[in-house]
Amino acid sequence: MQIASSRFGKIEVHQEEIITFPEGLVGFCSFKRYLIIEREIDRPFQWLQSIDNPELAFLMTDPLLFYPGYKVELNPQENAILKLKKVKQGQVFVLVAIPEDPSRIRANLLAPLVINVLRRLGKQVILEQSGYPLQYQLVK
Amino acid sequence: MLVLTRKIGESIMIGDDIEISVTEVRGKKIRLGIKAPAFIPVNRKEIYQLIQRENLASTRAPGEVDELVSLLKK
Repeated sequence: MQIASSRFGKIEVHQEEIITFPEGLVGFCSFKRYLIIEREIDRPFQWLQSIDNPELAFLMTDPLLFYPGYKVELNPQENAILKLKKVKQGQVFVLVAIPEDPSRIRANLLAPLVINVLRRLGKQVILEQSGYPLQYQLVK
Repeated sequence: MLVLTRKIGESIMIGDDIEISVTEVRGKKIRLGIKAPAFIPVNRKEIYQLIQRENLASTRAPGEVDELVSLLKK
């Protein structure tokens, strides 16, 4: 399958690369299938490209690079979506926003994305009790 | 908007799968119990809206992020 993404141009999508977010992301519930795009020039960031909406891509990163000890806990309902045997097996990303002043780049530690890499399933988890910030400044 | 009156311990059904019950009323605060299938996310509206806005912000990043990468390495 091929998609014409507005950010990356034409992308060849292989079935086995597709990650399904059964609920979509918060506010984007109708878009459920995604692809992780990792390019050398973007490191340490990745993109979560929607397959269902070629104009939609989220910037994200590994939270442990910026927030040592960052920890995600899942309740049974959340894991019913992800089907992880152990939470540790989940790959965690946080979404990154770049405002007009790029030095104010921030990450959303309150609602990370957890991905079951083996089963290609994802969920945006809201860590309401964690005290993690919605807008965590990445440049100190 | 549909408005219903319920007492403590009573509930409403939304479709076949979602049940919302009133478990406690204390002054101006009401505790609700929500039974819904796992694939239906349930959140407080304020938090949901904040995250929705932040999600949208992370789709608006500039096309190339390499300048930022150098900023982070400083």
